[in-house]
This record gives sequence, C-alpha cells and structure tokens, in this order.
Amino acid sequence: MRVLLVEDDALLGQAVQLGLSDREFSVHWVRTGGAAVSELNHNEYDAMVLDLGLPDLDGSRVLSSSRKRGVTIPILILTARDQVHDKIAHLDAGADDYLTKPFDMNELAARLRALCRRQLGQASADIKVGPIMLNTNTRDVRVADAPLSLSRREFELLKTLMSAPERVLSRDRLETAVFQGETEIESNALEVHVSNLRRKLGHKEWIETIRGIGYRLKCNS
Amino acid sequence: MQFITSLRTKFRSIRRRILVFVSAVYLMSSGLSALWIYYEVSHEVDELFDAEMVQQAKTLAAFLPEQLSEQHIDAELEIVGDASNHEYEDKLSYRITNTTSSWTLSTQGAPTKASAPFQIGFSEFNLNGRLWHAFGMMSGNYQVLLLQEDSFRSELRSDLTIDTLVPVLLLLPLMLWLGWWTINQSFVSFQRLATSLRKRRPDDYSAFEPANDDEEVAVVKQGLNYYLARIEQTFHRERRFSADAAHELRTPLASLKASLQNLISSKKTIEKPQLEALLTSTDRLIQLVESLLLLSKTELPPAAVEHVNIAKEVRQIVADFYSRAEQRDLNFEVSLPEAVGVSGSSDYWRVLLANIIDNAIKYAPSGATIEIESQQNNLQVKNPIVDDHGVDLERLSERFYRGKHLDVQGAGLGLSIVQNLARQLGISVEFSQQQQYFICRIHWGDNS
Repeated sequence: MRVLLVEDDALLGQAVQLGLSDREFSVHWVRTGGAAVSELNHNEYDAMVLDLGLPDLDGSRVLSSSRKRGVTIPILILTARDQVHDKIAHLDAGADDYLTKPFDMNELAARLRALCRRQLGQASADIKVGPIMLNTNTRDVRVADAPLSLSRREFELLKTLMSAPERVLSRDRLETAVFQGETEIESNALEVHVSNLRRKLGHKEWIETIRGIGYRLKCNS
Repeated sequence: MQFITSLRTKFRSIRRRILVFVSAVYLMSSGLSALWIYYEVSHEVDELFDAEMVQQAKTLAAFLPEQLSEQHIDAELEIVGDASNHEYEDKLSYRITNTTSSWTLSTQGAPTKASAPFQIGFSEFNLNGRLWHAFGMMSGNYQVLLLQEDSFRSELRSDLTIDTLVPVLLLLPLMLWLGWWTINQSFVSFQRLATSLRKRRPDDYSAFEPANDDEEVAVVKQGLNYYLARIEQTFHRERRFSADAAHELRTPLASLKASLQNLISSKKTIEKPQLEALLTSTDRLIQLVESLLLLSKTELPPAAVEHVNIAKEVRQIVADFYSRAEQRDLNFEVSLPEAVGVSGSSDYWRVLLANIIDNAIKYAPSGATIEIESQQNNLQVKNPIVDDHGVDLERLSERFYRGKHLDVQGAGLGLSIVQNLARQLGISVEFSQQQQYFICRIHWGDNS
C-alpha cells in the first residue's frame, strides 16, 4: 500500500516513515505542502497522511486543493490541533480521518488500513466476532454458519455491539443506534430487544449486562 | 465638617449637580430681570405721572377765570372738598395761587407755601421725611402747582416688580420637578447600559448595538466596544498560544513515541524491557502535557451553553473506562435516572465527570465498588479508600498535589481541572472523607 506522508518535522517524519514501513506500507515522505501537491500530480498513492502545520502551504490548503482537483484517495489528518471545530472543519473539507499527536503507531497503521479497505468498497460489509458473522449490505447474520433471522432493531443492536466487541457500550449509545432518533421510547424497550436477541443467539452469556451502564458483547469461542 | 462631607457625597451625582446649577442660573436670571424691570418701571411710571401732572396743570389753568370775583379776592385760602373719599387722595394735590391777591385754592392736606414753595417746572422736595414731586406753571396771574407724594409712585414700582417675580417663584417647584424628571429620563439609557453589562456572560465580547442612543450614551458605548474588542483579541491570543504550545510540545513527543514503538517492534532490538520503560515514561510525559493543556483550556469560559443529560455522559464515561476498571478488579454501582438535565458546555461537563470517575478508579483499592448516584440537583461519586489514604482534603484541588500516592499514575492535575471546570460551569464540587470512603459531590443550581 503506497502512502504519501506529508510532515515537516524531521524526527517525526522519519519515525512515522520507519514505523509504517515496518507495518507493510510503502511510504514516500515529503516535508512541504508544495512537494505534496506535485507528488499527488505525478504519482499514484493509496492514501495520504497530512500534517496541518506545514512551512509553505498550510495542510488545510493542500487538502482543499487536492479535493478540488479530484483527488479521491483517503486523506488522514495528523495534527497537534485538537479543537473539535478544527476536526469538524477538516472532515467537512474532505478529510477522511483525523488523528491528534502524539498518537500510537499501531493506531495510525490500523486507521490507514481501515481507510484503504473502505476505499476499496469492502467497508463494513462483513463483520466477524467469534462465531457470529454479520454482513451489513445483505443484512445476513450467521452464527457458526447457521443463518439467523433478526428483526430490523435486533439487527441494528447486534451490528452496534459487534462494531466494538469486548467493549462496554452505554445504553444511550445503543438506544441511539437501535431507535435512530425516535423520541417516544418505552423505558424498557432496549431490554426487550436485548433479551430477544439473546434468545435468538442461543447463548445468553454472549451479551453481558453492565448494570446501570449498558451492555458488552463477549463471545470469544 | 460632616455636613460638607455629606454635601460633597451628594454632589458626586451628575444629575444633582445639573439640577442645582440650572436652578441657580434660573433664580439668578430671574433676579436680574426683576432688577431690570424695577428700573424700567420706575422710569415709565415717572414719565407717565409727570405727563399727567402737566396735563392736569394745563386743565386746571384752562378753568381759571381771568379776573377773580369779589368774594374770592378777600378770601385768603379756599380748601377744595374733603380728602377722605379715597385713600390716595392726600397723596395727590394741587395749589393755585393768584399773584395779584393772596387767594389760594388748594386741596385738603396739600403742603403749604412755606413747606413747598412754588417753582416753575419739575422739582422734588422733602416734607416730613416724605418725598414729593411737584410741577409748577404760570397761567396769567396764577401759579398752578401740582403735587404728588412719591410713596404712591414707589408702591406702583414695587407692585409691578413683585408681580413679575411671583410667577417665577411659583413656577420654581414645577421647574425643579420637570428638570429632575427630564434629567432622570435622560439617564435611563445609562442605567440600561449598566444593566446589560451586568447581565453579560463573561465570554460575551460582542459589541453593543448603537441603537438610537443619546450622544453621551453613544460615546460610552463606543468606548466599551473598543475595550471589548481589545479583550477579545487578548482572549484569542491566549487561545492561540495554547494551540501553538500544544503543537510545539506534541510534535516532539509524537516522534519520541513513534521512534520507541518502532524500536520495540523491531526484530533486531534486544533491550526491550528498557525500551518499554522508556515508552511508559513517554506516555506519562504525554499525559502530563495533555493535562496541562486541558488545565489551561479550562481557565477559559466555554464557547457554548446547552442542555446536557449528565446521566448519559456518566454511562458513556463508565462504559469507556470499564475495561480499565476491570483490570483493577473494580465494580460499579450506578443508580441514575434515565435523564439528569443540567445546562452548560457538554464538553466541560464530560471532562469534569471523566476526571472525577478517573480519580475514583485510580484511588479505589482493588476489588472495591465505586458508587455513583444522583438525587435532585446533585451527583455523588463514592469510592472506598485504603487505610492510610493520607490525603489533605484542603489541598486536593491544588495543582500537582498527589497525597502519598506516588505509585498511582497521574500528575495531580485532575482535581484542579475539576475545580476550574466547576467554576466555569457555575456549580460546586465538594470532596469529603467519611470513614473508609472518599466522596465527591457535585451540586448544581435549581435553574441549571
């Protein structure tokens, strides 16, 4: 996977280039906005990692001008600015992801892989957690290869739980995902769907209740 | 002395000063105009009555016979009529004397020849302390002398003057009241300005609208707007400084961390434990920098005020921290209603609650249960503590204060951040210790 790295800081640029190369990326590193623009014109890349504070041309200018010229590759913004409005502005200007410094090398690599997957159209099609397999396009759910028929809400609930396995999801977050903005929700509606889903999955212990907080998907088998 | 001090205090009011000054000017100009009227009236009265005396003398002269009749020649003095018909009558009189005989015709009470000798033309004389005006003319053999006492004229003079002053004085209270009312009305816009200033949110730097203001209020508003604009600039500079500092610190830390991770994952590296320690230190350094930046951000008022459901925020925070708490074998006992509504910046509330819960997770002994509950307008986070907790409650929100727990990761900034946020949100946060429990109680106003 060819990645264009735009970073003016010598040490960080070197470290990221090295780190990404170790993780099976082929990295071309440039240190100015001008160089980034000309690289994009002349060579093919699968993704770009863009720093915002560049000496010549600001990263946000590189971003907007690339998008205007029809550059469609995923762009991940890597910056020390952590203001929410900065993030929103750049995501709206065409950035695909936003990571603030200092960051974890593994996370950067994982995000780049996810971005490229999404770019290739495989995005969020098949999700697999333990024996559960869920396809977001066909809405097909299988447990150990046996098909499972779920209602629309049970499907949304399972999909959300599978998006973050082993992690506790608050009931508020699950309600938002399952009821999608409906206002008149019975106070125990979520519990009802959870208990139905548990019954259909056939393994009660897979969906753990965290009392007062929410639920967690646990099915490492 | 005390009177002067109190007078000086009273005169610090512009409104009072204007009123007193205007009234003084009003009274002074009224006095001056009364003086002017007095002299003008005196002059006119004198002219009028002098002309009247001349006229009267001529009329009398016209009726005098050329020759005196027999009966008159012998008569020494004839008194005309009785002077009790009108109170002014004795102040006006005449005396006609025939020069060829001793015949004299005179009104009752008229001054005698000895006290008021005949003189042609206008003259004045004093009689028994009273001033008299006289006009004498010759008509054939007759001396006609018209006499008027001055008191009659002076009464007219002062009456006319007083009559012009009375309305002025009568109108004074009305004028004072009107003046006070007008001045107060004009000062209302200042009061409005003061009220709107008092009610402003501390982060509201928007300029005052120049809506139909009086010239004076407009000047004050302009000054305020100029000041507000400068404050806003300073505020933005400070924010930019935080952002710049963040960038400057974060980039080298990022390269340090990335390089260490590269080394650790490299197959050639053999001193992995040392590198892991270095990475841990780097992470702590990063945390410290992040906390400092957060602390500096929380010194500033929030950008927006909105409705926040803190029950939802607490559930989200506990969900995010859950695996960390599980590693320390901690349990949660959360009893919160579906929604607990407060107002404020949701970002500030989230950071505040996250810091309090993070603190509980750090300092609860393993195996303990952290209790979170909310009643009416407070929320409480309660966690057990070890026996020798050794924390000075008074110093908890001091920066870098960490009690005895130097083994727990953290810089001692969490509760300082909490205090700052509480101040910005206008709520109170109390820390207390009861038996083997550490309790943090957040209390917000009813109108939140």
